[in-house]
Amino acid sequence: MNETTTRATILVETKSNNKYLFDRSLKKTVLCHPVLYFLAKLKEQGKDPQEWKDRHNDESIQIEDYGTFSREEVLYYYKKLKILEDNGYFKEIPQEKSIKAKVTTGDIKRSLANLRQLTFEVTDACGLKCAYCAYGKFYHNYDNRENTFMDIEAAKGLVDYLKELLDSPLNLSHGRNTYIGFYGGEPLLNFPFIREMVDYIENLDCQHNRFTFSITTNAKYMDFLVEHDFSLLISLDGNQFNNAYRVFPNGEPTYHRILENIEALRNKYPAYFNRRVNFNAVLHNKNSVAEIFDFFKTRFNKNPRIGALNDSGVREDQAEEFWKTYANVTESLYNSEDYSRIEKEMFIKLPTIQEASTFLFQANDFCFSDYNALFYSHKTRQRFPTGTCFPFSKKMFVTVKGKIMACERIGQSYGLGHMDSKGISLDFQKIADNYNRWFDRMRKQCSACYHIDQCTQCIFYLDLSGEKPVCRSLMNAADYSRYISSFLGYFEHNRSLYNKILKEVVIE
Amino acid sequence: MNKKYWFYIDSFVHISIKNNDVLFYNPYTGKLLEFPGSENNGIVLKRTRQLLSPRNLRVIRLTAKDLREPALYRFVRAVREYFMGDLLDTSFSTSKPFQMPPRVKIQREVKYLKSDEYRSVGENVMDYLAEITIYLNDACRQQCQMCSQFYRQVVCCTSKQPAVHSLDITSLKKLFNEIKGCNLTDLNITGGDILTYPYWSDLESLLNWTNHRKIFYVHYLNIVEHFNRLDRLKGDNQRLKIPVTFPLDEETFKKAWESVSRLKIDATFVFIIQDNEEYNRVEELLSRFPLASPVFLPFYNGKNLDFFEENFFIDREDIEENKPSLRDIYINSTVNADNFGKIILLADGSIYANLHASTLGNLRENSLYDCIFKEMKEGRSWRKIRENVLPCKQCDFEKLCPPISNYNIAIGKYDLCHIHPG
Repeated sequence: MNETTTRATILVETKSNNKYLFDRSLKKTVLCHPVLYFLAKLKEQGKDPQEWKDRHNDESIQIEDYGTFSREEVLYYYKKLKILEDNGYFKEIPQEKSIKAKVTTGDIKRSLANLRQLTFEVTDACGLKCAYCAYGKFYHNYDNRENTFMDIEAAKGLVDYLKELLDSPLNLSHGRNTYIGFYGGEPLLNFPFIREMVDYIENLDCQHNRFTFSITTNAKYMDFLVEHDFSLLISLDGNQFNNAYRVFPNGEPTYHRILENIEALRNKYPAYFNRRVNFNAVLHNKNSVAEIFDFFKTRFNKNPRIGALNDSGVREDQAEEFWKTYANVTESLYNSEDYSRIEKEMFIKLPTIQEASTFLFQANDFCFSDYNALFYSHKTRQRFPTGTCFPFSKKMFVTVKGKIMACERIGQSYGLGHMDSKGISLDFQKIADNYNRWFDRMRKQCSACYHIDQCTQCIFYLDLSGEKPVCRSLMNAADYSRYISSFLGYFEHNRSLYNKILKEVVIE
Repeated sequence: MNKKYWFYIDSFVHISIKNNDVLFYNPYTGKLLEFPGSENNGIVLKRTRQLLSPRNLRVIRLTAKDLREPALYRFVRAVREYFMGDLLDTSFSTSKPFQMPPRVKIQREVKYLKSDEYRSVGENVMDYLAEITIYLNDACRQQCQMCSQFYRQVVCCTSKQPAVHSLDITSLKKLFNEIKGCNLTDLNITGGDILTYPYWSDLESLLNWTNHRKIFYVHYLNIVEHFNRLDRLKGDNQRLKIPVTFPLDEETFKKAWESVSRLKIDATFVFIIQDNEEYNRVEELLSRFPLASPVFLPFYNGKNLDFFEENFFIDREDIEENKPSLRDIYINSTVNADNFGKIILLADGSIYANLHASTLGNLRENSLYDCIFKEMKEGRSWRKIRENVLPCKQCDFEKLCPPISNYNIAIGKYDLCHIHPG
């Protein structure tokens, strides 16, 4: 193998000693007899299996670490190896060639014309002072919080700007739902903005799009939210103790107040509550997956989303306290006594199932994003480095100060444009140039990475301050073999999930 | 000692059970392994059903005692001989191995979009548009036999006597505007006699705006008649297709052949043939007027089923020889590869996904978005697959056969094959 190629076929052995070949290019897994695995290993080591086979003529052949096999068996598995080879296994992948995609202005414009979600940070004011807030003491990568409120006219200007694109022939959809999100701070502190914006958007005469509203809040103004069928995400970390980090500025707990609001909403609008209300719990050192699960199941018969604290953009002087507060969702899940019941009930809301689903979708040749994908080969597809979303392909996030961004979960230093009362400033060429410059710094690493086709590493979560950013997800062949092994091993013991995931999990 | 084995079928093998017939197909070797229900295949049927159960995911346990059953032994031996699966001594590992049997999953599949009130079947539909065939007019001075029928089976020209329709330029402008963002592969421009289309210069400026490949269809009889106008069809990313139909006027064909050679235009002659005699005639003609890559397309005229049966009906050997890939099988499970992404616009403005299905709308009243949305939602042509039609849905070969074609519909028979005659 030279430095510009990587191996397509990877040898994988699970903890149970089952042996497989996984081909990254064909996206196929082949269960192996030990002899087939051994012959493939010879190939991996650059040796010639034919030469080995011809040298071993005895009726009984001993293969170290594998056992004793008949000559007939060796010949049979040699033939099978040749069949696999004839059908594209064991190739070298010229990775560099496939990681050359560049961001173009046309593609950015097309992304905007097909926008799926527009989220406004309607205020940076908040009635709470949660200890681990993304805009709080742990982090450095956000703009100053100054109790400001978003300018409604500027926001309407952005909507008009986007409407023109949504109505253009670059929009490839018809009847698509575009989500309009209201985010904070506490978004309902700027309720007049939300009310006016909802009215404005509901009266837009858009040719190809309809709109649905969503909000992350603590459940006030419920009549309005219900009337406009908002998707409501309520932040709560579990029971009173679990919720200890969610406090008012004076340090008083918020738990009882939030619960009162939730109960009032549930009593007044039970159907809406069942259909449109979801919970978001942050995992930390004062709760656990099991406690969160039990609380929401018992109290509301709901499965919440559970997320860990974001570990990117953490201030150095706060790192120690941050990691004390931090808890890993998978570890917490597997530390619980009845994790299999929790996993079964929470299913796709858990990161373990999300990761297993991603693995199944990306590691198999029969999973496609859409009908077109049936007709083109992923082998010839040019891709971008890392697993970063293409700008605006998933959403547009606008900060309270008018900074236009690709996502609310990345540091606010990565603004792509600006909106204010004078208009919209989105320079597609500049955005393309910036992305290409960031991507160029990763191309070499990604070319050598075995995990690139399954990569979900957002470039903005890497430290881009130095000349040579280091990817935290980089995998060589051995790392990748372990990665595949962990999932195959997982499914060896959770086979019922295979069909359930393929049947039920849909990624938008 | 009663030794234990894991018996498995490889994940790349296609398996089908229909009416108790069991079929295994190895796309890597092209080999078929059949166990017909009529041949006492009880053990094979039972074990294959076990293999296919979601619990087993193609891996079941067999013992040495089980394998003493001759029918099971023969089955396992055949599977191994065809490199479709294997036996693994259970002592090789400490748990049952895992296989990922193919189960086609399309994230933006219509069934998922329909079942979610916050999503739409119309998501990215215009991205599916791959080919548009535009019939500019239905005027033509020629009087070819079966002229009104060819275009219903193959891309060709067609006319009405007297001529009735010409696409107005306003409709065309609307169409070209709507496809601006699409990644079309081909734009077929046909008629009638397109060289008499009254708004040609307007059309030309529209075509200049698109970078899709343009393919013009001009009947060989019209090539000679409009020799002076052929120049307008030359250009980058432009090709000419010349339908040749029978009865053939050899003198005119010769002139057309010479005209095209002289003009150095990127042209392909498309011979539409109805029997072996016509085929032989073309072969003979080509020996005198050589062509780089002539195309032959059969045409069903209502009386030539024998011609199709002899030359185009498929059998097991054809399948083994064609060696359909796993990707072919996935495509055949979900969409009609012949129709998918194709739209036809007739000179009266009516829009079709396939001329044998009902119209999706009219360009004068509907947007192309509406029409494609309707086709995706209803799936009458783009998603018309053998799994949904008789007798194919009862046949093990259903996913290995080519997609349902216009010939199937014109002949009124889905099983144009010697495999399971209906």
